[in-house]
Amino acid sequence: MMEENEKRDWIKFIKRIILFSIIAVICFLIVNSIYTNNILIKKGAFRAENVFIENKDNISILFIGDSHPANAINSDFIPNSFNYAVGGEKYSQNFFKLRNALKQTDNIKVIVMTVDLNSLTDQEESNSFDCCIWYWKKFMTFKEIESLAKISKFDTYIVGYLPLISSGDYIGSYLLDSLNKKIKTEYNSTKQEINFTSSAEYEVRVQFSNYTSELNTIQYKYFLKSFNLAKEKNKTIILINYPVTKEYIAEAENGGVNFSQYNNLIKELIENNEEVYLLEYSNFTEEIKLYKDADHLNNEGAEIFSKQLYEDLIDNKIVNEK
Amino acid sequence: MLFNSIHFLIFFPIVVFLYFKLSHKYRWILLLIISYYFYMSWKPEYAILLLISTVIDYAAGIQITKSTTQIRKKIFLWISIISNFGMLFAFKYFTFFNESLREVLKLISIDFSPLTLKVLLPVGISFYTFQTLSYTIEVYRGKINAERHFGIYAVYVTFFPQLVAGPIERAANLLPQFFKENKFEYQRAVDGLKLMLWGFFKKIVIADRLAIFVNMVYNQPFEYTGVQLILATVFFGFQIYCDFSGYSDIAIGSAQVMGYSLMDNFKRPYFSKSIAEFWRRWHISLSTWFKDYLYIPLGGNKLSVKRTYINTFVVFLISGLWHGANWTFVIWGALHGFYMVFAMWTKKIRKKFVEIIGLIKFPKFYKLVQVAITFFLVTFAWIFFRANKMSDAIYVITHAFINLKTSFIELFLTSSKLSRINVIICILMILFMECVHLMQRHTEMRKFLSSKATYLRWTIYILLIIAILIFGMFNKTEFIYFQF
Repeated sequence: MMEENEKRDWIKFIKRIILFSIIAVICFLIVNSIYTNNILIKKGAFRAENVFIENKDNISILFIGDSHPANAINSDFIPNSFNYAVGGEKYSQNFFKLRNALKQTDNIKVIVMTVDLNSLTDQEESNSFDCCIWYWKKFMTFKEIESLAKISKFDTYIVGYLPLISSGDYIGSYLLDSLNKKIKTEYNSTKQEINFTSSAEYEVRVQFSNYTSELNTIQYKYFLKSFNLAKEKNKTIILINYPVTKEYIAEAENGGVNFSQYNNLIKELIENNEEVYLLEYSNFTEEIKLYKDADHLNNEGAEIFSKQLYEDLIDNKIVNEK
Repeated sequence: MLFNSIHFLIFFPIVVFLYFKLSHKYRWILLLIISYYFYMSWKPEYAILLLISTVIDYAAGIQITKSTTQIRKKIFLWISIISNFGMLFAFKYFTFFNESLREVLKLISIDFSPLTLKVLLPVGISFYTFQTLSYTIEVYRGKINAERHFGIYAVYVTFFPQLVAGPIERAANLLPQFFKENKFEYQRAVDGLKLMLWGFFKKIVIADRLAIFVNMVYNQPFEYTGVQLILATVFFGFQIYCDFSGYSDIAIGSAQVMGYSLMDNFKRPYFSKSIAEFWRRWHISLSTWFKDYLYIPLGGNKLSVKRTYINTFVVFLISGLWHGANWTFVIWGALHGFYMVFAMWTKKIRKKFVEIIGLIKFPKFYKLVQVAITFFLVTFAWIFFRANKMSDAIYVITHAFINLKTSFIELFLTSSKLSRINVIICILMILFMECVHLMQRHTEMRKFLSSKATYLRWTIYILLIIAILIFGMFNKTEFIYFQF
């Protein structure tokens, strides 16, 4: 049994621990709130979400996908369009974003999806939500996130409501952004031309997990789900193969990536469906000055490509000229 | 159960609460149950090994005390030694020795297909076998009496804070503490929690963050050159320090909350001025174990100079093997053995050289040079410790100083897959930790903090907790030393 002194110490300890914990939790919640409202909200994807909500009634063409459309589309040159694509986004995530967008507005007439083989073969499932469950909870239920991200319910809720946890890298990059830009500018002014062959080698190795091109059934399922959702809502669907350098294609094919299997799959999909168009732009240009790396257009490339795409949409009578 | 898990954060307060609510005479039962629960949350079946080791050494201790002749005492000591090392050999070294034998026989064209045991290494086996061995050796030497209370002895072997990764406690220090009735003391509990917090910071923020970069480079070293290899090696030095000393801090801190005092395991080792000093500051409980139970029995430095060199080298070679069943660990141990022998051999020449070049006149600068050289030597040896195989280690050594400029640009200026931000955060965190270490040279940090006003102390603790939550890596990685 505890003696009087010991009891006093014990009660003092318990009281102080409780008080300290309350203060620590409050401080953490304050910092978490500052982080979400001042730093996280400025992240590209989250900004895009706000712009979409503000302009949703004027959007009739919606681009969804990963870094390829994110870099290749400049919606300034395609009237009434909105580029909702974000680098690294998967078909599973595209689907939930599309579902949410179609819930919010009926004005969207054309859905432009990407048909990258690298996205359909992406085998990395579990890490896709790591950084941004806070963001994705706007589009999906926690149950959907939990099943797709393969993390526990506890972790899903914690990261969903307290994005500050483990956000060090993002905060660091935000705080050091200006410094980085300065260093990059200085470096870019003296650096030589990008080596597209090694860039292609790197991109293909990363995207195709060492040159395997087996379809990811989950991603393909969500690709079809997006496709069917758009059809169900009577939207016109455009599938685009975005521009890549010849070095990228050569590297992928030399490495044994099987493009024909996937081309047949897409062809079959289009043949069986009306109001679905496939626009093939993978050989759009060989001018490397229009690329920022082996498989992404730069700003200049995006402007030229977007203008061309708009013309093609008009020529194919998918959209009317404004 | 991992210290850096939600599981432990729930487990520990419950244990502390129950411990102080229980009467002293029942506390050993609680400690025994929770220690086995703690251990069994990895692989329950391996608790049998723990129990076997406990029973054998308990019985050996009793029999050694009871024995009237020296030969009988020796027999029971050897039963303890053979059973502990036998277990260690079977689970840790059997496959390694067989594989090595196969390679040797292959050289003389003998085809040998060794039997391989496909078993996981029982967590902490190297630690608890060494701890129980120290007990029987001490009983044999007559320095302590054999413990007759089996329950208390079992708690000494399995005490959960230090069970899986030390400190490797001596019976003379820990066993009597289980008989003493620990009263709850506010200041002691708070000091323990502070130490735990610092341990969590070192493990979750520094070690696990450094691990991202280190693993990326060391798992495929052939993809990197120059600065990336150098940085990964330096980072590994800090990773293993933060990982292991972080574990020790949490272990010592959690034991302290309950009123137990465990031995210090680290004393700012990267500020050492020599390799010998490094080993007085790094994994102290293991270094002293090897000194007391191997180096001194071999003759220590009491025999010829040549014999001292051999004894030193052998101890480090075996220490390398203790760390892992791989030639890379043996080379690492041998390298440290070589450093030690070389340092003893050249002691006079080096002293003269320092006097001739006048370095002795600038004591602070001289000390800095010594610390830098020691750090370089230790870091160089880490290459073998961390490399997955010998060829990787050789690649790292031969490519660490080529393409320095290109690798620097790739690391810090271009959009590399190695996150620049992560590297910057790692460097800042290491600097922060070393600043704290520098301050600790003059005053113990917890004492320093205790002298400050409550609001200031609490602000520091809250900032540290928030830093752990923001910069921590919560992928529940195991502690490096668990594999030993």
